[in-house]
Amino acid sequence: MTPAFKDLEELLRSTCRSGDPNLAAYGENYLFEERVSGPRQGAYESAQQGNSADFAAWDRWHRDQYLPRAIHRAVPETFTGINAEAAHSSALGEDQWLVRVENLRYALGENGLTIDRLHELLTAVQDGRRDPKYDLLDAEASLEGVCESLNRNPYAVRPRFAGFYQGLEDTLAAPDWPDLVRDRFGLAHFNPAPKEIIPVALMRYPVRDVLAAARKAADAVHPICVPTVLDHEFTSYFVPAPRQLPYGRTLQLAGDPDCEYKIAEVLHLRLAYRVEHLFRVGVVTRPVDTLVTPGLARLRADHIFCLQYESDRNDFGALPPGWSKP
Amino acid sequence: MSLSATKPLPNDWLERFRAEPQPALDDLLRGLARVPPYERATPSDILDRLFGVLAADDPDRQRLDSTLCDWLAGRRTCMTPDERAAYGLSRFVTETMDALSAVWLLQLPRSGAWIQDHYLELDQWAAPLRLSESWDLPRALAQAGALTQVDQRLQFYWLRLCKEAAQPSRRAMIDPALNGLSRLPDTAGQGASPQLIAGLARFGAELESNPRDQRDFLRRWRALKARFPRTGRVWQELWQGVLKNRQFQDRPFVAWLTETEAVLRTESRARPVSLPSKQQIDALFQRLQRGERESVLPYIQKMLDGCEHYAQGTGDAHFFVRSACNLGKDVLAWAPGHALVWARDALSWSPANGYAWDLRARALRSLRRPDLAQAVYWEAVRRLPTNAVVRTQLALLLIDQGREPEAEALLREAHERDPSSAHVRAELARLLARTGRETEAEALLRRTLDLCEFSRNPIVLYTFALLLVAWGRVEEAGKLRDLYVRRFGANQWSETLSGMIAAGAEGRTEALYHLAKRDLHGEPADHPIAADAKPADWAVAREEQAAAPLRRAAGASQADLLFRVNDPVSAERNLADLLADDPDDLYPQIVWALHVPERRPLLAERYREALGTLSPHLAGADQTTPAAHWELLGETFPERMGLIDLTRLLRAGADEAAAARLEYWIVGGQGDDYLRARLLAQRGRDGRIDPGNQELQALLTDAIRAEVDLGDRVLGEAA
Repeated sequence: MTPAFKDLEELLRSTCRSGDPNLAAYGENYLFEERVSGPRQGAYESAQQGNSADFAAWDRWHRDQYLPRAIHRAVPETFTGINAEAAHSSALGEDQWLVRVENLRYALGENGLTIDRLHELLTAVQDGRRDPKYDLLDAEASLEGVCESLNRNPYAVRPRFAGFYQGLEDTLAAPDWPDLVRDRFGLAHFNPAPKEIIPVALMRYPVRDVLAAARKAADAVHPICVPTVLDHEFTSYFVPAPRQLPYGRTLQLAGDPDCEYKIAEVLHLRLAYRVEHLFRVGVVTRPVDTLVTPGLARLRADHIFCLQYESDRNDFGALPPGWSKP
Repeated sequence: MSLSATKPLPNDWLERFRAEPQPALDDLLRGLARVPPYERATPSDILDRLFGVLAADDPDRQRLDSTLCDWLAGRRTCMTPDERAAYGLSRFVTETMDALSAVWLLQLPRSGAWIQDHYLELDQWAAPLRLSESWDLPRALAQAGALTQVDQRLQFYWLRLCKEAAQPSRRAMIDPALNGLSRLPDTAGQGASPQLIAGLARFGAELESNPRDQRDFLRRWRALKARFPRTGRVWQELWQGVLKNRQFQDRPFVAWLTETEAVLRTESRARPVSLPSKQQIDALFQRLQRGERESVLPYIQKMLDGCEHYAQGTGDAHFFVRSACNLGKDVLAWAPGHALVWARDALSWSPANGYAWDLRARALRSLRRPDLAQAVYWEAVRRLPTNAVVRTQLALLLIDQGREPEAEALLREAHERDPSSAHVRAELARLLARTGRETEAEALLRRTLDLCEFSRNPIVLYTFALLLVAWGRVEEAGKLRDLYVRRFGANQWSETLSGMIAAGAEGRTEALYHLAKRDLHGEPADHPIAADAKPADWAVAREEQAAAPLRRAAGASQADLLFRVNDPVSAERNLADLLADDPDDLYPQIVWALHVPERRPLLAERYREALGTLSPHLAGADQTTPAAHWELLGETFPERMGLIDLTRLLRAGADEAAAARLEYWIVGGQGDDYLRARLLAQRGRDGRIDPGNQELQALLTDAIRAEVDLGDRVLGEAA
């Protein structure tokens, strides 16, 4: 996106030249974004006027004004007509599986379960066999409670990042799959302290279920979209994808020199989870070491290289001359 | 060892939090703080990441605990209702929910203790702020209350909540209610406790025989089984008291349970929790009748403890509440402290019990706290708009204060709602006579005497005879005295009459003296026994502690009555004072909107999205209320569809479907018996329900006031 107003342009220039890799990333993401429509950008930047004194002012406005008004609502702007350019364009089979990682701390606490107990219950339901410890219907009822907790989360209304299941099977076969999935999805905020664990669920659901949920919301004309920089808080563990790619691409936290492990990523409208959507549960145990070494800037540089490679766009992700850090 | 294990990432927000805890935390909870790499995490997850692994005595963690506690304490008053609506209710609710969950996720002791100490107050405040399944502040608060418990003080709240959760609009509360019971500290058999089963039974007992209710009940039961794996024998023992209980026998949940659980179809060998026998209870009443006092009180207490233990094990408090009220009435004259304790205990189990409300207020009056008694009666009248007893008692207290117009309005309403009450008729006649309307008083009493239903009631005869003496019509009074003796035999009342009739002019003075007494028909007052002093002090102190919300509610109810006796200036002044003190207090806002139509749009705007309670929507409704909003109310509160449709008809004109539903409700609906009977009568008389009918408008006002959820603080905390 090329900012329409001089003050935002100046702010972006200074942000990109910042020595802080996070700040630089926020600025770059805005400039690299290619899917925000003219009307959406125009509306955003017009409303943003007067909040460009520094990045902190812009970020505060973005969080305090823009996101509550446009995104954190029953049908986020993301899925409405104004975001048509980011709508997922290629044909999606209704049977295609989407996957998403959910933090289970709240749901476990609310339901009085441990992650080990939940794992036993899920196994009993998925195996469908008579379990000496749990009646199948009892286990299902317990899992319903977990889904209900996830559905009741007030943040559940926000656009949901999800990836495609295909290509994830090998990762899920590993005993440390939660760490690996966390890395492949670029979920830097699932970063446990040493010896700490973060209980997670991998939710899996067909595209059909998303579309069915969207049919109940009249304004949701594009219920599955490619994520853009305006759909969430500014984050450095996200890079917008070139318009030639039909999906977003997750930033692989463990590094991906051969561009093999990125997951095709979309945003979709909220759907209410059901028991059959609970696919796997486990714990993230490893800290994200790469946040320190090699560090964010290197991860992003490698990622942008992959995006250029996949889209055949050598020009993607390049800052205007003179914008880079001296 | 990885770098991250030894050297945490630099964190600007944490540095700021150490320097300026309150604004830094406020920014974080409001989603305004940028904390890389957690930009996409929720505020409570960020707090978990930053503080979750810190030791309990870590300064940062302790700082978080105290700052979060202050933040929660300020949340109630940080915005007026209008500011909150402008800020965005969903955002406000999201932030508050997140802060509450941080308290229990991080197990912050000070914030948790603060939630426990202020729980009932917070519960009342949060009640309307349920916007949808996801934006549900009352539920999040209840979860926080359940998960931060360190003692048993909320036990009654959870048990009441289990019952309320059977209503479709409150169904989401069953999970925190059961959570609360399963996490009561120090119960026998943590988790799968008798209280938990009692809660589930109270929930089940209110459910209907339909697939949704069955599914909701069995899902909770099954989830509990999975959560607390126990042998069939343990469940059998826990359930047997419920399954043997006669109150529950015909309720559908018993069949749902026994159909799915083979083990519950068989008898347990363990001795079930049981009630004291009828002989034991009768023996106590006999001892009371024989005049035993101090010596019998410990036995009564033991018997009531047995009844309450049964209630705790089965969820059925019927016997306990009835026994507490009956025995309280019997000891009231000489042990008002005991009566007050029992009345409060009874209300904890059964907040809609008119006998318990009346006993509580009578006991307070006996303990020389008419101020508290009056506040209790105001609340009882609001909750139980068709209960003539509490309305009459309140009227008598107002007469004591020289507030005859308000008292008269209450007595006329009581008479209208319960024409079968001789007491109301006699008191109304006495007030009419006292205020110079002897003719009307006499006509009322003569009409009453002509009705055969009152022929066996001594109150009307005695009052009429007394009035005749006071009016100097001793001959007529003598005839009534004779009639009294023929019907009821000679007793202290007939002797009083005879004495006055025989005394001539002095008798007239004595009659006036009697007529001026507050309690004309009551038993003579007695001196409390010494053993009552301690319980009385304790119970009155507890009443004092809980008096503030009761007095506020009473203030708003008084304003309602002032409107009805055509004193809007005083009414509005009262309401303005209440709201100046607490702009968020819902009940005064509702009373104001009910009586001043210009205030309705303001109320509607403030609470349009807040679907936790029905009353602000009904009070704020007018012709501009969109049809879609009426439909939404019907979907959210299906159990109150009749009242919603009636409000719609009287305020905005109902459409065809609503009119048809209303007709069905009037004829065959559940609950609101008096309101439906009056509607039926009015429709029979006029051929339609007339929105312009003032009587119906007054009934609607009462119904909407009764719908206001004032929370459990007004009940007083149980012993």
